[in-house]
Amino acid sequence: MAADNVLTIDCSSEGNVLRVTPRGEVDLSTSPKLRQALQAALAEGEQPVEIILSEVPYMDSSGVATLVEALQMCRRQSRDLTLVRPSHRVASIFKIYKLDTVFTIRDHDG
Amino acid sequence: MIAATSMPESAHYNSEIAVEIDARPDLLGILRGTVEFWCRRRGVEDEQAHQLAMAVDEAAANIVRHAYGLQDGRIRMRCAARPTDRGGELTIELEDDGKQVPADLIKSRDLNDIRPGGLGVHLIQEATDEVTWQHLPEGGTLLTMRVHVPAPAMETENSPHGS
Repeated sequence: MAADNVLTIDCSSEGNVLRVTPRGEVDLSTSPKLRQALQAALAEGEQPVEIILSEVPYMDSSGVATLVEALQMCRRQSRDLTLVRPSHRVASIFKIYKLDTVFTIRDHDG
Repeated sequence: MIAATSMPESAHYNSEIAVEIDARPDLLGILRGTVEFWCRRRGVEDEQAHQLAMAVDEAAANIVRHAYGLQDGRIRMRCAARPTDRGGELTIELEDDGKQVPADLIKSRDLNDIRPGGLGVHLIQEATDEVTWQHLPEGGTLLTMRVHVPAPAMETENSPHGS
C-alpha cells in the first residue's frame, strides 16, 4: 500500500521576503523533504524568511527539529526567520518543547 | 502489511485494539490515527486524544529510527482501557523486535539546549502519566504508556469490541 502522506513545499520571493509554504503533515516520512527544501532555500541570500504553517495540520518532533535547524542556519546568516499562522495544534507543540519563545511566531500574514 | 492480529492477552486486561504495521515512516500515520480515533470514541477530550496520538507517533518513530535503524521490522500496538476509582486508565503498548536501546539512552533532554533532535521522549512524558520501556527476554522492547482519563471516557464506549 502506498501511504498517502504527501507534503508539498512552495518557495517564493515576495518583496524582500523569502516565503516557504509547506502543505501537508510533517512527520518522520515527510520531514526529510522539508529539510531538503529549507536547506536549498536558505543556502544563500540575506532575505528575511517566513515559513507559513497554516496548512500544516500535524507536525512531529522531526518536523520541529527541522525548523530548529533552519533557525540555526538563519542565525548564522544573520537573517530573521518567522513562523507564520501555525494551527493551534502545531503552536501547542512549540509550547510543549518550550520553543515558543525561541522562534518568532506570528498569527497573521505580514 | 497491516493486520488486525489476535494478540496473546496480557495478564492484566483485554486489549480493545491491536494493530500491527511494518516499521516504516510512511505508515506511522496509521498508528497515530488509530489512537486518536479510539480515544475519541471513548469520549476522551480532543486535546488529550491528540496528545496521546502524538506520543504514540513519537514512540513509534523512535522504534523505526533506533530499534530498527530504518531497516525492516514490525511494530505491534495494543490499546486497552479500564475503570479506576478516579475515572479510567488507558494503556497503550508498543512492541518491537528490534535492537534494545539501553535504558539510560532513552531520556528527555534539557530543553534549554536549543538544538534539533531528542525531543520525542519529552513529549511522551508530557502526554502520559506513566511510561516504561521493558527489554523482553526473547528480544525487542515493550513500551507501555498509561494515562488517567476522566470518568466519561469510561462510560461512552459502545463499541462491540469493548471489554
